[in-house]
Amino acid sequence: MRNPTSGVVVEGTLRADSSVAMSIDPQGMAHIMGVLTNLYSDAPLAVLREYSTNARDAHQAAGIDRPIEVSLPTALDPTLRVRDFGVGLSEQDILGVYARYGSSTKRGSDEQVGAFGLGSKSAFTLAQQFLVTSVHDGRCTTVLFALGADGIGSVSVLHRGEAQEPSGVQIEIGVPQPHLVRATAARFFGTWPAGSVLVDGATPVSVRDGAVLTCEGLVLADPQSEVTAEGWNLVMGGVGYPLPRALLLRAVRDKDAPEARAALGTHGFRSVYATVPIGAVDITPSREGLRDTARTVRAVRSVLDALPDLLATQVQAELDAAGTATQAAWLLAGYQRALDKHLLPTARLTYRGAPIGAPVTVPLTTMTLTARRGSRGGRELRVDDNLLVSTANMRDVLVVTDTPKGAARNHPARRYLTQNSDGTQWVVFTADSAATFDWFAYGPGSPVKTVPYPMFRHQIDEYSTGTTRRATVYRTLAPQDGEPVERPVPWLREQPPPVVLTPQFFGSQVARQVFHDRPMVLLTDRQSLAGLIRRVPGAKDGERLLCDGARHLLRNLSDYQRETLTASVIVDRFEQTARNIDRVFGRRAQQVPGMRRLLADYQRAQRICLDRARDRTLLISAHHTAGTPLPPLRPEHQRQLDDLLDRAPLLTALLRAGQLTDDELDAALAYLTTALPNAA
Amino acid sequence: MITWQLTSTATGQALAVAFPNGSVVTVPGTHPTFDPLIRHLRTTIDPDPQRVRDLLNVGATTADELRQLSTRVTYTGGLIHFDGQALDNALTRHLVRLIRAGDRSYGRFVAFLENLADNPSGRSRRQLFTWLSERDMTITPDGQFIAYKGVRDDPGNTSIHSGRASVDGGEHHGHIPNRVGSVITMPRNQVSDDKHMGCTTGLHVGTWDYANSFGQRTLIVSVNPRDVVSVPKDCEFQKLRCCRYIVLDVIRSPLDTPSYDAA
Repeated sequence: MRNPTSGVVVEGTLRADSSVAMSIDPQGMAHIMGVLTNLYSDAPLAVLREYSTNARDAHQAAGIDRPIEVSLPTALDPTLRVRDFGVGLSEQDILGVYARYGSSTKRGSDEQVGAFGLGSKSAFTLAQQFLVTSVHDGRCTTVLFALGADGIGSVSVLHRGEAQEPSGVQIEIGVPQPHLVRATAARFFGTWPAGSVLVDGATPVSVRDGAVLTCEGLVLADPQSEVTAEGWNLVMGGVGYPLPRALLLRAVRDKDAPEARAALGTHGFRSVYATVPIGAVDITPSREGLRDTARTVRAVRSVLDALPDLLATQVQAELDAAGTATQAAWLLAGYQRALDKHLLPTARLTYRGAPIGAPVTVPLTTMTLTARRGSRGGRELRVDDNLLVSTANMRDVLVVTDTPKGAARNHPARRYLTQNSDGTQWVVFTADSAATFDWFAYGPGSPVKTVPYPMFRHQIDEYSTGTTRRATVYRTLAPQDGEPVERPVPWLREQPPPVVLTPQFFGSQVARQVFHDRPMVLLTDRQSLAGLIRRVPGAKDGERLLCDGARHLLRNLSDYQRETLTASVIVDRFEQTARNIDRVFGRRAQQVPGMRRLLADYQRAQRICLDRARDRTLLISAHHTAGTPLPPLRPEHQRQLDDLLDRAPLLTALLRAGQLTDDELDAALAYLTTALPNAA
Repeated sequence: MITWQLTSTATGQALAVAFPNGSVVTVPGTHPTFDPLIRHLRTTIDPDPQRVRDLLNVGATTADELRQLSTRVTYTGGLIHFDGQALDNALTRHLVRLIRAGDRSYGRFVAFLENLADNPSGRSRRQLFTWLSERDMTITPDGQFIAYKGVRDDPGNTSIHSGRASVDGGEHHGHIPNRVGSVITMPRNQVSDDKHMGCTTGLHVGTWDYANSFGQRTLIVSVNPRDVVSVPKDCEFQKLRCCRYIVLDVIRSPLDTPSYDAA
């Protein structure tokens, strides 16, 4: 990149008595270095940007196509490594570039990003040292740059030798807070061109992934993505710079500004990445932001002015690639929602040569009712013989098929349009069951809603009170459902009487078991049981029924279920102790018959619980619902277990004690098992 | 012979180590084994290259030790993976804490990971990481983590709120007793997994600050990561809902060690 202070021309007749060139005081060198090192507000971003763009510039200079490689630091390996495969640097070059502030090999070139001669030392903002390893002409040189006691950096050449690796430069920086660098890297590399970088061996997520629209030099990115930034961003040399709002507005304000540019200032997008050529805009010496200069404003203006054509070309290509006119219209509707009308004039766009936005007259064999807001806010109804419809409002059309001859249309349609708040503007009646108008592609994915006449009438009946604007639906779980479904009242009326459950029991396993033949309903805060009973006669409060059902279930347990419950009780009570016994005594515990039997019982119970996890949950849930305690163990089993559990605190003491002798372990085991039969 | 240079400033330290074969490594002062590394270099006339390498490559050496305990552990790109998925930051931070403390009880860490993998809900696992990301974790020998519970000051350590739960296999209604050693459970499907709901059904535990300010007495409990259901957003993610916990003890100050063994 060209230096903005280069190319100064001095001309005139002014004569001074003496003239001295400005310079830096050698005593203040440490201070100046400190200032130049700490000029970054976002140190992890600065380090990533400087070294990775240097690496990319090296590839650019050498004409190399392969990506640079970045290895991000982790908590266990906190070293950031940036490797390029350019021609490398000689020892003299390393010392010249990395050891001198203001030294740059790229000044005067618009092919490469660097220019200031500061970035190569930016590692000092994060770390006290960094390593440069270069392979050049078959020779490998490793140089350590470290802050010195005098505040000025020191340079130590640590190794010179024959190279085994391909030429290029590797920078290594020990990073104190690796997670910050990792988080920054995800966003930073999002703007890099595809194939230019590998991060930890993989292609990084790009702002182009999941974008609303991508075309040459422009990405309307997904603002929800982890790698995108809000607002406008200019990308120069792969590096994204946020475009401040004030600068954007300065670029927009111009008395001759075209309409599209003016629209950008007021609407814009949520996340935009526009690419500009290297050197087209001025950036701050820290390279963290754009400078508000006339050149930058000019560059932003030219981007804004080119934008409508770019968008139109890209959108037109996508429309032409659509399978049908409806799909194209649907695609366009999406772009119209996302983009300002001045940026994307619909009239210019076509679907394979045919206009898309132009209204189309659909000849109807039946009448159409149109609902429009009148001047007083009410709805006006109009009967048309022809429907003038454009693709832009296709979503507002409800087509009622299978309308019988002589069926009442006017009244139900009027009620539907008045009382329905789903945005429907037209209701079209047709006797056909599969009517196809030019623009209406019926079937899955069609933006036009269709409904058969009987269902339409049924729906209208739902508005009998005339006060509800939306059909009442209940959150329902029927025997045939896997997940809860919103269902209307008529559907519930056709089922066995539903039961109302609280969130605690709605959909629980035991509820599904008890109400295996009737739907369950979960009321919202605005719904009441009385309201449901009024709409669906026979509906009941299910909690009491559920409790009775759970009790019935528990009274009629099969042997299989009883065994599952017993196993569950054993596992719950004995789990911790069994683990501790195993940890303290290991195989030794198996040598005491009583203990062996007890452990075997536990393992069997554990297996049962694992194999019958579903049954176990059901049975425990049933007990929980019925409010009954879990069944006790067999008396002798209970006694043995209680005795063992009483002595269990010994185990925790033993665990803490650490290494025990065999005698101590035997004594402890004997104490633990005195109450067990066959303890000896 | 190994040579080295330590650079210290007010903001941090960095160490460069040059090996006899010409390779050089630089690490920051936050490296997990920085202190033992410096100690070894300072106190040894001729530092052992293999020992220095092992300390520098602590990620790989730790992963090797973990692999001895579970074949589900792998190490790639400086990250430890379990079942092919990189460990969350909160878990890596715990591992670094173990390494720094010289605590080689990796068995319980692996047990924690295995228990965590048994949690049937990915959303619950992610919410647990949110809970852990703000605080240091303490793990029991059987791979459960330590949480706190505020209870009433009565002989049974009964819960502040009333509800239904199973205590040592017996059903309880009302204020749930939390005697030391008790196992408190409730069916997982009855525990709310909605993180947007602050106060709802489920067994609640929390951080020391939350529990200590909430109850009259504070218990230390162990929770199996398998049994974690949700972390409500209210109270700055300090609460945690689970379906099972074990009451370990009554305590007066929070634990600050990475490992816990029953007293």
